[in-house]
This record gives sequence, structure tokens and C-alpha cells, in this order.
Amino acid sequence: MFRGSPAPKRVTPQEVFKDEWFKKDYKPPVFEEKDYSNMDDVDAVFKDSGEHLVAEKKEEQPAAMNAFEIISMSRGLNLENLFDPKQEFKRETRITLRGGANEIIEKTEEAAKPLGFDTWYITWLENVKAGRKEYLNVAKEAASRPNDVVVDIDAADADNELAAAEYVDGIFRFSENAEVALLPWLDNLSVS
Amino acid sequence: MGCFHSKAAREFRGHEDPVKLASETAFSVSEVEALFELFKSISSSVVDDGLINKEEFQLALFKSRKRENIFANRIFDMFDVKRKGVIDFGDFVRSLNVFHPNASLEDKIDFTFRLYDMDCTGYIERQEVKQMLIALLCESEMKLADETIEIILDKTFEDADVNQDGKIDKLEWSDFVNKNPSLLKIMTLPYLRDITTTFPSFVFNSEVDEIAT
Repeated sequence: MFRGSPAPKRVTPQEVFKDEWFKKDYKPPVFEEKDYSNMDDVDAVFKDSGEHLVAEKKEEQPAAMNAFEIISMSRGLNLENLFDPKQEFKRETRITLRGGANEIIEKTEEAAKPLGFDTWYITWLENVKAGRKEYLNVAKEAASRPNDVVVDIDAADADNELAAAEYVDGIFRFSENAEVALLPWLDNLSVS
Repeated sequence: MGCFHSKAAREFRGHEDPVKLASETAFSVSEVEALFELFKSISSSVVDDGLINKEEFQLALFKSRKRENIFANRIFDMFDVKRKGVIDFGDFVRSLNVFHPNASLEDKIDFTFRLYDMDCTGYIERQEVKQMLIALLCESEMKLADETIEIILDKTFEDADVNQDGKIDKLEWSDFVNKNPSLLKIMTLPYLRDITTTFPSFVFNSEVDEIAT
């Protein structure tokens, strides 16, 4: 049928974009590109100079816990306790970690399930057990809690004591924010 | 009103004038009065002498009189401005002022520097930090290998001790805190903003407030 006449050329995408029909009411998408021009990590690999060493960054906290972050956890430095005469559930945000990281995680798992921490929590634990070093965003279930809180947890090695400590600290900050007394859970972990 | 003034005077006899304290701090007169309610309850818990001693401070903080804690001791010493071994009402208000949400960042940074400079040398030395770290681990009954502790210290000093002289000076501390703002979390007590509702004062002070402003 089309013998002899030039084969109909398919319109190219570029031509479509230029066409008036396409342009009508069209808003080109704007991609916000963050400026990733920091080449420090690349430089760190290829250049020997120490200047370009980059610390692994968590969203909220820099690097691994520094000594002062740990020290700040002392009850002696948390003066809000002065204002709480009854100290019902605001009483204790310190916990006692007994045993190695794996034991802690097992105990936490036992205690947490009945509290309805299922989905997000167990997923985290499974990832930890699988040794996946992924940066997990843990979203709290809104169901029985009044506030929505997102806790960033770095799922590091299951054997890493520090990671377990950090994780539990994360749970504490989380519980403070959510104003939920996770005390029964704490009791299972030997609260001090 | 004659009645009012004498009642207010009676209430605060022996203690610093709330109006004066309010003028020197971020607190309003009613807030100072509310703080007085808190002060009264803490300072009378062991010895009813209108002063907070170490035991009463520990009791207020830990709900236990006998709880020794190097950090609480340090805070107590810093609140005990006149080095009398006790904290009076003026000390109490002025010290808490730094913890007010509106207090300057600089004051908060300064306070933490002095806090951690336990031996008051003007520097935060590695040994001091190690001591504090170990104390915290002890307090929380957390166990970390010695090696891990050294790694944490190494990392901390790598970040904070810019001129690598083994100690953190005031300027280095300031820079470090600006990079790690969570370190100042302990320096702000949101409770201080609602102090008048937490500790309602029974002295009617609307008239005093008007005079004060």
C-alpha cells in the first residue's frame, strides 16, 4: 500500500515534545538535584592524604557514637528528673545491657512481640541477623501510639556491641518521643 | 496593697528577691516564684534549712539519697557557685537559667565545657574523657572491651582535638559541639517553659509582674 511513497516516519519523542499539542498545560518535571559534588570519598580512596577521610554519616548522628554522646546518657546529667516529682514513666531512660549483643536482641525480640512491635521491628531484627548492613528506616505503627515517629537505625553487625547499645538507645529516644512507657519491655532487659 | 507585699516578703525572707532574679535571668517573676516551689520541696527533703545539700540533690535526681554519681557531683559543684557545699535559691535560679530554652548557645556550650573539664585545667583531657566514659559504662552496667573504649576515645579525639595535642580546648569544643548539636541536648530543659503550670505558686504576682516590666 505504501509502495513508492516514503515510509511514514515515526515521529521522534523530541518532535512530540516540541509539538504544541504536547506543550499545552505541560509542566516540565523539576528534579531537585542535591549537590553531590563533594568528592571527598572518592579522593579518600585515590589520594593518600588524610584530609579527605570521610566519616560515615547517619542521618541524625554523626559517625559512630562519640564518647560525649555516650557520657550524656548519664542520669546525673539529665536534670529533667528534678522536675518530675512522681517520675512515673519519665523515670528511667537508661537500661542495663547484660550479655552479648545477640542475647540482648533475642530478649528484646521476646519482649517486643506481645507489645505489637511486629512488622517493623521484627524486620529489623531479621536484617540484623542476616548481617545486612542496610540503613533501615523504621516507622512506628500508629495504631496504639499517639505520635508518628521515624527512627533511623543503622542495622550493623549483630555481633557489634556498640550497635546493640545504639539500637537500644534509639529505642529509648523513640519511646521518649512517643511518650509510651516501654517499661515492661525494659524490665525484661534488666532495667537499672 | 499592704497585704500582698507583706505576704510576698514573708514567703521569700532569707532568699534572694524574685524580682531581682527575674531581671538577671530569662525567667519572669512568676517563673522564679514557681521555681521557688520546686526549690522548697528539694531543699526541705532531708534537712529543712532552705538550702539544697548534696544528699537532697541526689534524692531529687535519682530518688535515692545515697546514689553517688560523678556527673551529678559535677553538676552540684557547678550549681554551688559560692563554693559553700550547698545550693541556695539564687544559685539555683541562676544555674537553671542556662538550661532555659531561650538561654544563649554560647552559655550552654560554656557550661558543658566546664562540666567535662572535671579537674578545671581549662582543657578536656583524654584521661578525663576516659574516666567519664568508664563511669557511664559502670552506671549503666554496660560492658565494652578495653579496645572498644580506646577506639571510641580515638575517634572522639580525632574529631574534636583538631591540633592533636591530646586535649580539647574551649575553641575546639565549641567547633565540635556545633558539628554535633545533640551534645547540647542535656543543656535544655523544656520543662522550664511551663514551670508555672507544673509548680503553681500561691503568691499572687500579677501586680509584681507589672512593676517588673
